[in-house]
Amino acid sequence: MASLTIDNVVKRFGAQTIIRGVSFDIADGELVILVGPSGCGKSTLLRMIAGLETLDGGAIRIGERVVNDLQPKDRDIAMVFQSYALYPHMTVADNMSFALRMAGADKAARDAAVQRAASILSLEQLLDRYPRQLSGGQRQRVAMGRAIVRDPAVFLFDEPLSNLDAKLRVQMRAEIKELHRRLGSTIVYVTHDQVEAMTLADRIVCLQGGTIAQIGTPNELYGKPANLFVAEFIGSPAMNILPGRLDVAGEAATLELADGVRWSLPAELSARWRAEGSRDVAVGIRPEHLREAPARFSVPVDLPVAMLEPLGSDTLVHAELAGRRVLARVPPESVDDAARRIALHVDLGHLHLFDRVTGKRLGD
Amino acid sequence: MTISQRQRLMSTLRFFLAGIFAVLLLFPIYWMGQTSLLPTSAVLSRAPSLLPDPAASSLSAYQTLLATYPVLTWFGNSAIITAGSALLSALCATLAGYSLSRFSSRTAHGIAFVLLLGRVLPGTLLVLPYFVLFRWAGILDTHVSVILANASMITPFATFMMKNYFDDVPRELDEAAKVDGCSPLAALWFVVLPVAAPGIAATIAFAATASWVDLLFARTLLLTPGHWTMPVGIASLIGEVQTSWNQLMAAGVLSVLPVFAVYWFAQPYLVGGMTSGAVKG
Repeated sequence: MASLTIDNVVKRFGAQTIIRGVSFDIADGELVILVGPSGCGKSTLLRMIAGLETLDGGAIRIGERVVNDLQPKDRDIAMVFQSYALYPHMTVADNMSFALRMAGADKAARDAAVQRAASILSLEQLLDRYPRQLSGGQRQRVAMGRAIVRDPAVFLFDEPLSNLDAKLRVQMRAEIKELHRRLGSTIVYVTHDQVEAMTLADRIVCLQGGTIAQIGTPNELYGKPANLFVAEFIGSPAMNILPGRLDVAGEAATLELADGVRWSLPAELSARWRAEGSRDVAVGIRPEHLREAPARFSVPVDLPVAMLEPLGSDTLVHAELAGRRVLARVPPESVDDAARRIALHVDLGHLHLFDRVTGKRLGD
Repeated sequence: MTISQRQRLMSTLRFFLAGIFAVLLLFPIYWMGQTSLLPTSAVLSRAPSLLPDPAASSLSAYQTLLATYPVLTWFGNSAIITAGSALLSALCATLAGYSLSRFSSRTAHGIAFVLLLGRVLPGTLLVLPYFVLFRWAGILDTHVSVILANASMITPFATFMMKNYFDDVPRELDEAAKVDGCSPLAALWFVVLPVAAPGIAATIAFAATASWVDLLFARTLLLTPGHWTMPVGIASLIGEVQTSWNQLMAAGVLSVLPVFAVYWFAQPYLVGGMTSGAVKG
């Protein structure tokens, strides 16, 4: 295992800059997830770590070693591809032992490593089969087994669960988490699925247009998004964003939204944003913070209902607030299927305010 | 008319058209075989029988042919030249096709264009320069000269055949191989080539067939009768005064047999399916 350092890395394809001076560190044994929308550069960054793409600037260090100019085989990494990339003409055992064969390991060592990985992933019964004889989940496991056999310094996962159905994805997610706990390995994992990111990561690197929008633990990104982009990207369903204005007058602060909606913030809360001064803001409210019951700091709202989405454990209410469609997550029993209006409470204690121009988080 | 009736009618029509097409393709081969078994009198009769006549059929044309002409020598020469041309062009096409498939650049596009240009030049245009070149190199009238000439004509098309097969092999396989410790050439050898085996088989079959039937280069570049190939030998059976058609057809049958054999044995590799299970699923 080893630490990984990404130092001011730049990547260009022709005139287009894909990665714009990205820097972060990954500690030994940490599972870091690169997340972001399509085209944000997360897969490119992973491929640069793997050595499958060259760097146009900066440095990548695995442990203390700069690996910029090393071939993939010399970087001591293993990669699990989105499409599995199993060798179709080789059995599962041959797929798993291929890297050791290339490294010149003798047959006894190869067999021992394959048996160890197979027992970790419950693949013992499948070693003689070919990839075409396996299910999607089994192929995924073989792809992971191929990586484990190498005992690399860093594991790289490129959207490994995106080809699996929903049920299998949840199962494999748990298996990857368990595997990480068991092996204590350094893992860089790319996904566009923020649920995967939230559930698996020690830390998340959220990328936007080739730059880092925020780095932090899943709870930090969810609870204190650094900007509007992260606020809208992390969380499912996404955070409700409403345009408004923060008015600060002495000790008091008021939020004005469209359609004459006006919330006076209690002194304890207004202290958070007083220093920002009066300005146009984007107000962020998570769906679970449009509550059916009052909270310590909350204001009641009576909203017209547009649609209900029952999820079983919760019901998503599509309603209208300050002229915008918002989503509220409420217990199923608290909403009537035929309801035209719904009485909710906006939990002011969990409001997020962002500068409307820069998108940066305001307050703490 | 119901949908199922319409589907049945379409299916019957397709089968009928395919049958006509098959008869048109196979009749000349049947007629060659039929003629090779008939005596000269029957071959030259005004209304030869379309159906096989076991009473009149014999292998005498084959016996005479083999006793009179060095057919086995021609056959051996053809086999050597075909094997050499097919292997050389398959080797060049594999490496070039892989490069064009995986390392796309402006230079590669330029090279691809030049290859295509080479393909459109007719053999008749190249045969004289080749004659002069090979005489200068001292390899005129040798198998090597025909192998090189054939390979030069076959390789451009074979390269694009191989490029298309390599394009179908997922790039992730090469990348996985590189991560697993392979150099680009090792990735090609250990991972990509086995997956592209049907493509290689098809390319070798194409190259072998094209080389086996070559008359132009062999006729021009091989001067000694002992070096002739089957097509040159068969052409020599057509006399100015008299042609023994049943012997000519017998030679034709012998010449076609290896081509059948190549396609018969390569057939399992010509159908795809090797990449099944490689990615997704």
